Order: sequence, then structure tokens, then C-alpha cells
Amino acid sequence: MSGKPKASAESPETIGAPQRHLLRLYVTGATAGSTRAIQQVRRLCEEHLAGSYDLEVIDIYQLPSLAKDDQIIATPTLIKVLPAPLRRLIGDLSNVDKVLFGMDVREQS
Amino acid sequence: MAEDIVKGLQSRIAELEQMLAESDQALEAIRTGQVESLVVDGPNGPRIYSLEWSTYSFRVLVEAMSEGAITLGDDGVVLYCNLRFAKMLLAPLERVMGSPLGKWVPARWLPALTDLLRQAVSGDARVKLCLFSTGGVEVPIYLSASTIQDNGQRVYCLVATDLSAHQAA
Repeated sequence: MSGKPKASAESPETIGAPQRHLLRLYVTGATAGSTRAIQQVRRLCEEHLAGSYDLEVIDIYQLPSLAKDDQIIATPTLIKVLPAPLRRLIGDLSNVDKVLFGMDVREQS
Repeated sequence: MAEDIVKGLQSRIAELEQMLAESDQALEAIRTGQVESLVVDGPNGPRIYSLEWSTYSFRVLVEAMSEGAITLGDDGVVLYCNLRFAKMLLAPLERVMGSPLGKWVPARWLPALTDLLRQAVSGDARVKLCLFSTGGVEVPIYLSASTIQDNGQRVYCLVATDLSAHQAA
């Protein structure tokens, strides 16, 4: 599929505003691990990035070509595409601090 | 003396290069489908994960069926759907998975969806409603729902039949 959105950092509404996060989560079908990963990432996004993130959940069984593009070796893998630099987190996403670091979310103190 | 240190470091570098090459090779083997299973240490000894899903035929059935198949978490978020359902919405699959199902339902149909999910808790339930497609067009569908317990969590299983073809006929 060619539905992968391009980064739109130059669009007028984003100039001067904090950049939206673009996150890509790779999973395998309807397995328990996939379900946990989606719920965990969505929960953290809603808590820390509400309204300023785009999440793509990619089932590599149904969209294998996208997994090849991002060189996925195991699932789940979370990739922070934007803001740069790209970061990837492979495997268990239950460690909140690790995931927040991967998402490039800084705690407000 | 300095020569010894250099020699020691050189051999350490060679050793590390070798280790890195082995790791790269292992990763490459997994990535290119050269392995049949992954072995992971668990508290009760190693667990072997087949890279082929044991319910392979069921997965193919769900992916190939002409109805939309969706699973929802208790909060209404799409945990899984097939490409057929994403096509009903004219949306990329990766934008539908992980999104709340309510996002794709026009406001006046939301009560019907809520009712359906409530009824599904006590048995099979079905309803006719409309979905939004990405183009803003409303797509009439027949939605049936049931629930399962998956690892102690309630998961809704939905099947969506596109009625627009039937209505046009």
C-alpha cells in the first residue's frame, strides 16, 4: 500500500508549533502480544501526546512490504518517525520509561 | 610495553568484530526468513516460537473473507481488522488499526454502536448502521458482534457486511 503519509513539517499550520509525533507500531495479527502493544502505546500517547500524534499500527501479515521498508526483525517494534531522529524499540513495550524515551517524550516537571 | 598494549587492543578489536559479525548474521538470518523458529529462554526453560502462526489457516480465512473482521478492546479501540474492513472505509489499514471505531461512525449512529456492544456482552448481537468512508461518503453496513475473554480482558469480535452493493442492486 502507498498510504504512508509524508512528513509535513513545511505545512503552514505546523510552522512555529511543536512538531506532531508520527509513530509506527509493527504487530502480527490479532495475537495477545499485538493487543498489549497497541493498548500500551495508545495509552501513553493519550497521556503524553493527546491531540498531537499520529499512530500507524501495521499488521505485518497483511502489509509485509511496509515491514521490509523499515527492516523489522521482530514484533512488536515501535518506531518513532517524527520528530527526528528516528528511534526504534523492539520487543516488550511494558517498560513505560523505555517507551517514553523511545517516543521522545519529556516528562513535564 | 606500549607494543604489548597495542597488540592487546588489536586482538580485542578483532574479537569484538567477530562477535559483531555473528550478531549481524543472526539478525540477517531471522530477517530474511532463514530460520523456522525462535527460541526464547523462559522461567520454565526455553520456549520455541514457530514463525508460522499455528492457526495459519484461520488467519488466511479472515484475511481473505469478503466481510470486514474487527476486534475491539474494551475501550472501543480497533486492535485488529482485515484489509476488507479498511477498504470499506477507503482508509489505509494502518490508520484504522489502533484507532477508536467510533471515529469511523457518524455521530447519529454512535448510539446504535454503543447498544450493539452492550448487547454483545450477553450474547450475539447485530445492527444496521453507517460508517464514514475517508471521502465523507456514508457506507451502510450490517454489523454483528460477540465477545470473548482474552487473557482476562474482554474483546469484542465484529463482522461487517457492506450493504451498499445490496442496496444498489
